[in-house]
Amino acid sequence: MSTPVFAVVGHPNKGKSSIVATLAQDDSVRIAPESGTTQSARRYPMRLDDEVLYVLVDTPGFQRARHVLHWMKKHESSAAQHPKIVADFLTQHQHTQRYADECQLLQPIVEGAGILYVVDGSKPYGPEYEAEMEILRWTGQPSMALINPIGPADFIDEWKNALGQYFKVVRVFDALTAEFQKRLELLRAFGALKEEWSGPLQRAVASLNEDRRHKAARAARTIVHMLADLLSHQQTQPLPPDTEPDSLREKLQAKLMQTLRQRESQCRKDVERIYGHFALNREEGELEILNQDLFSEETWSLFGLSRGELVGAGMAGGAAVGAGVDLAAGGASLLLGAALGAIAGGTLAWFSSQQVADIKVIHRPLGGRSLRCGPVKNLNFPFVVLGRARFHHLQVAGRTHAQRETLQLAATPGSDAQILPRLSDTHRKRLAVLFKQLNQTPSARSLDPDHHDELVAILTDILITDVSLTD
Amino acid sequence: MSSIPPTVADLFALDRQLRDDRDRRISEIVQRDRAIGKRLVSLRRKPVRQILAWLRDVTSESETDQSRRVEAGLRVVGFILTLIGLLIGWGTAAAVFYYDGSHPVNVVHVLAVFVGLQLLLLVLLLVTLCPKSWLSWLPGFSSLQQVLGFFSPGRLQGVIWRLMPQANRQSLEALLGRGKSFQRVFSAVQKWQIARWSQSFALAFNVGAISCCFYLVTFSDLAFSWSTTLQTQPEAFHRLTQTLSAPWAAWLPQAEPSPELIRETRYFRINAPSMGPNRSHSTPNPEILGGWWPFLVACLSFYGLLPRLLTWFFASWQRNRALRTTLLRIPGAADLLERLNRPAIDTRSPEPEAGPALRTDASVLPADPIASPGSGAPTVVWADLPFSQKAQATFVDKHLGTSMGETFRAGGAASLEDDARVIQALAEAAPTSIIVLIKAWEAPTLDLSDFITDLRAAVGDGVAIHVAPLGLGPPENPTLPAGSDCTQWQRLLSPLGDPWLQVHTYASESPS
Repeated sequence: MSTPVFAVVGHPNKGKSSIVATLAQDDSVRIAPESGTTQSARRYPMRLDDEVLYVLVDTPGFQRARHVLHWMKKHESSAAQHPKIVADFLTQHQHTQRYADECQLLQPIVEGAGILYVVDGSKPYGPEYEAEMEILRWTGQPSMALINPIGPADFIDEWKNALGQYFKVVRVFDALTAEFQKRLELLRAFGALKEEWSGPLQRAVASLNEDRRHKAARAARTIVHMLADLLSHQQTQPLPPDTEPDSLREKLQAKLMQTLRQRESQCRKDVERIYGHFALNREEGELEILNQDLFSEETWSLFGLSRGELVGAGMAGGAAVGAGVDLAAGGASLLLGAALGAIAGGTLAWFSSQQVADIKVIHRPLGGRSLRCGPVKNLNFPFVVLGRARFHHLQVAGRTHAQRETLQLAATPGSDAQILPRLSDTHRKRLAVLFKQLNQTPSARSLDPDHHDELVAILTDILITDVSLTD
Repeated sequence: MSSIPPTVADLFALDRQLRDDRDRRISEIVQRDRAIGKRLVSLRRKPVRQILAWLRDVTSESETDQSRRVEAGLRVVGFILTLIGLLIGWGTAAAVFYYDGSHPVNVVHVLAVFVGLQLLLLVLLLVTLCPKSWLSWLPGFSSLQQVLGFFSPGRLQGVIWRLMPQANRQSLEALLGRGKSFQRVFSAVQKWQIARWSQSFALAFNVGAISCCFYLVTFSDLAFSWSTTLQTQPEAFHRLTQTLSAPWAAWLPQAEPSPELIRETRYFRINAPSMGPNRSHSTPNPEILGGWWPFLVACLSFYGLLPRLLTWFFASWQRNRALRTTLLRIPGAADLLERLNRPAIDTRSPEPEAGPALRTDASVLPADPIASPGSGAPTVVWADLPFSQKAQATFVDKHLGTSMGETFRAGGAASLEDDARVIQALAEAAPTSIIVLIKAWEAPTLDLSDFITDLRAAVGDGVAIHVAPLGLGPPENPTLPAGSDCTQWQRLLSPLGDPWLQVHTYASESPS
């Protein structure tokens, strides 16, 4: 069984390449408002491993359709000979420049490709299309007409009437805005053009559907990494002995915000890459930190511990030693050893920490003052970050590869909520717990692997729901 | 899980490779990984081994060299720590077992250093390794853990790296620098790697101490006694030694001190050099004085060496476990496994787009203004405009400043013969100018270009041909077209190089 091939043909500048870009999910397809953008046929095989399930062929538009039809009519003997005459035309002209575009578009059809004839539903029907449709009818190949409304005007009914005289199947397909399920429907319709094409096209549709779910899961993993980084990131700067912390605050906060925004932007790029948008321009309102004081003033540290933590450690250590004494006394001391040990350890830690901090090991002091900015602990912050990521994902997953304008994302977090489906109560509550765990500690290392997996699972579920509701 | 665990160098190599892949074309990566995945299909259920095999396949020779250097560096760190442990162990034992004939070796010292202190350090180690969540209710516990972790001998790695060859050090620093950004992933490995180094150090310390003990026992004549300021009776001390030797007493009775030995080897400084209250004036029995060593060696082995051997195995096991888990959790590893094991779907074109972005051979050159069409100029309506005759005439009057003469239909549904007849009629009429009305909204095709070429050949040079695009609108009201639409037609006809041809762009008028 031969692989189904579909030649996308038509008048120049009617959105053939847009349809191909959308179906092939390929943003490298050249699309422009000027005609003549596609200069030669280009193949887009849909491969599942080494197997090609179908091939789309983008072609240049007809330039001299009336001349070609004139030639064919001149050589006509009977209707049964029409396909042969088309093949003869190709044989005779494929090495000449005059009919280069016609030869490019007729070649795959003569070799057995199905015909997808594309017209622009926003422009009126004209008689100049008749020669093109007549030539295609002569080829005798299975065919379908696609009305692609490029602009706002509506001439779809007029087109349906005209196309119905030449094609058995006429469908409206907006290459720029077609949702994913509509794209799959179109592929199914391609399969219906010829019985033997049905199987491969159904498999292609099933594979693309599954691939869609996997892409959502990959996006979820990417977003969870970003969330973990954003919720745990902090900026720390050592404070020299005579420096006022106020002089460093603004700089440190700017640095923190820059890092957070860069991380978010990197995540955006990664998600776009997952969906095959490699050259996407995006405009998005900057991430804000929701009016919160992020500073931990003059945090005193030794061994990475604050003075309070150090006293705690001293007390625990002292208590442990004291408990040993209690144990040796067979419990007769009534835990007095542990209590005294804790007091002694804590006091020692408090008074000796400054001296120890000044000690330099390999030219570095063991402790000192520092100013810490972050992590952002506002309870709404992770939900804002998640909302922005969901909104972006929804736009990217739904965006066709024919769209070339800048992706505009809402500037304010509030406006995302109007488009995004609401989080279920179960998800919201669980996310709140996991987010809290994430920013309770100073570094992302504390995210338990099981919690990480749970976060990915929840987010995958959310992203798939978002996408399926808009598909 | 794999029987051969990944190494730290594998982790960094994987992280680096996955980062590099982010800059490559996705289709290239998908195809590469799927091809490898098919070869590794037998490892589908062994993700760690599959990733490692993939890594060997994709990493270049130079990257493998770098990984080897990292691995060698880590081994050097382990080796140096072991060596330091051996030396310190030997040195400590030499100090504790020091005997110059004046005072016997005090068994209490030996037990304090090699049993008491070691057990205390072991407890602290367990506190350090204890998962934070286990004792999180205990205030100060996690801080204590952090402080204790700071004093781990494994931390000497930083100092040792400074002494390493430059190539190894740079590789390690570069990789660890990258690792810092993935602390979440690497921290478990780091914790257990440091723990393992610490245990190598401690194990070597005990091996060194036991070796030194054997050396001294073999090559010198040690005399042991026990002595303490505390009011301890020989019976109480015997109970202590009995408790300590309980684990081996049944199968190694000679390593359990007898009550006689304890009684006979009690040492009082005031009675020196006498060995025991009953022998204050007699010569010490050399057999009795040396009789402690089997017990002490057994103590060293059981309370020093054996626990450290166990903790070393435990740390190694945990490190290998952390390595396996971490390998699967490196950002991008899950995606990699998907690429290896799921059929690759690719819908993009494998060929690049051919040719330049636009037909630059048809550059837009505005034709020099030619003579305005004369009144009543014959007009060709190209491809059946959807406007009434009156609307067309009004448009021409308004925007070309003249009146339409006889009209002719060409293009569109007309045949080539019809076109030829129109051209012949126009040639016979010999006008000074001709107007061609076209649809501005349609894409220009070479069909019109052919017609104009034939028309020029028929009417001859000097006859002005005015091509006027009409914008889309109601049948009675064609609009002024957008400049970009007119430019397209200009681009089509410019290559004809016809000085008497003009495509009107209505530049001086604002489009409707």
